[in-house]
Amino acid sequence: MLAIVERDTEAWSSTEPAPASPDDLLARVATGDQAAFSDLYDVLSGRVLGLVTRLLRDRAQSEEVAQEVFLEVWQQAARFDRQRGTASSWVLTMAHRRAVDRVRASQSSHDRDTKIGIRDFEAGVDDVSESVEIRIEHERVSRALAKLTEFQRQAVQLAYYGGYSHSEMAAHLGVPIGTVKTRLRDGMIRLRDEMGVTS
Amino acid sequence: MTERHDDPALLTGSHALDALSDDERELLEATFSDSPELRAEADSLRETALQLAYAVDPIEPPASMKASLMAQIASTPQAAPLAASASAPAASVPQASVPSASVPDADGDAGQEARFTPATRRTRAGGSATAAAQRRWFQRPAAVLSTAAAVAVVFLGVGLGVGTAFTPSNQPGPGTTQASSGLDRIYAASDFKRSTAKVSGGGTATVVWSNSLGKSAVILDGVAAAPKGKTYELWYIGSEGTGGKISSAGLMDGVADGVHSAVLTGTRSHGVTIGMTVEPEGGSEQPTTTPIMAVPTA
Repeated sequence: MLAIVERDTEAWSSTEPAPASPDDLLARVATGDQAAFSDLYDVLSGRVLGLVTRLLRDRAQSEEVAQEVFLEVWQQAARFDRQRGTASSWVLTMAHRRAVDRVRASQSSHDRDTKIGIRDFEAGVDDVSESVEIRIEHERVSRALAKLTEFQRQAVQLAYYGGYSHSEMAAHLGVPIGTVKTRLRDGMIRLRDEMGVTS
Repeated sequence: MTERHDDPALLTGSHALDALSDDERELLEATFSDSPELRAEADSLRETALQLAYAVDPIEPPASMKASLMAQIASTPQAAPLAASASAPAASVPQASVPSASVPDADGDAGQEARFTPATRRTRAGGSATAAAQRRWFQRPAAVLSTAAAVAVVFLGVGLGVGTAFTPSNQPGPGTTQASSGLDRIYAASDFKRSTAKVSGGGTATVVWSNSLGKSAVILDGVAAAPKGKTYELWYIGSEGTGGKISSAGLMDGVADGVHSAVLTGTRSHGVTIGMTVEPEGGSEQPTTTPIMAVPTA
């Protein structure tokens, strides 16, 4: 009788086959498993390209950086330490670092509008409709960010979504570098506590 | 502020956001081995920064990117693992203090269980009600859709009237989630999975889950409020292998269009189906109506 139910539920729900976990895939990638790399790419490439594009905006450059990230994943897979976090975190951390490096290296970085990180994030909230989970994440992050002071929020968004170093921010905002450091640290601690993150 | 501005302890926020120069990063990371507290703070802020990454819209890369990568890796050598001593001492990693034997698959998420905000927890007697509910659930699958459609008609006539008994007093505004702290852990899990189904009567239900955490959450989008005096109740419906047991996974109050989420009460066993029914306010021991959505998880 259960078999009937299972067919029935399948008929009225669209279930994707569950993929292997990124952690397991990465462990296999470390042994030179190209099929596992292909699967890992399928799971994470959308998030990686999305994040990189948020910082760089230019699609061609972003694809280039995303590709570098995955090449690094292939090369460095054996050095991933499961004790220090998940495979997804590892890959996204790497993607953010590379995107920041690229932003800073590009000539146009000096012409960036200091408001751009903030504006982008706010604009992003409105046009997110394709994925319920992303909307949830947006709302969660927006709510947590709203608990920061305006200065903290500005600093955190400029840094993460704009790719600014704190010395760049100090110059743009016309405040001492120590102030920027303090805003970023206090802002991140507040954000952590608001979102209930523990490491 | 009394600290010197080059005090590495001030750099953890900038570190998490990749706002440091290479020199500053090295300066900070050099202090980690002497300062487990600083390392723990840096780790937690790094984890927080990742939440900013998870909030960004994914962009599907062109197929050519994958083709090019697959060709590249075929001829790219891989680095050898670092010596074990090169990685962080276990004692300085916060999650390593959790006895890992009890949660062997939990990875970095070990010890986070207590952070989940359960849906409303209720005690129940089980027994004959279980059998009755199983009959209801399993023996009338063909009737489910048409009956649920009738329920949906009832929904449409009722705009408000959500039960308040279990609604937290600090309930956030419309279109927000009541379970973000638990969702957060599921999204961050290495084995994060999701499945979406239509809800009879309109809207969609997305179930997200992690086997390593044994946790799942339901996200409703565009689902109408339950009729007056009724509430939505979530259920675990066991697979054949576990005897088809049905157990309550908590109530989902406060639904009124928009996006709502709830982390399910209790532990999700492997392969269960997550279902939702309309129940009298306060919930039922076992489902008393036909499900308006069911999402198998594997």
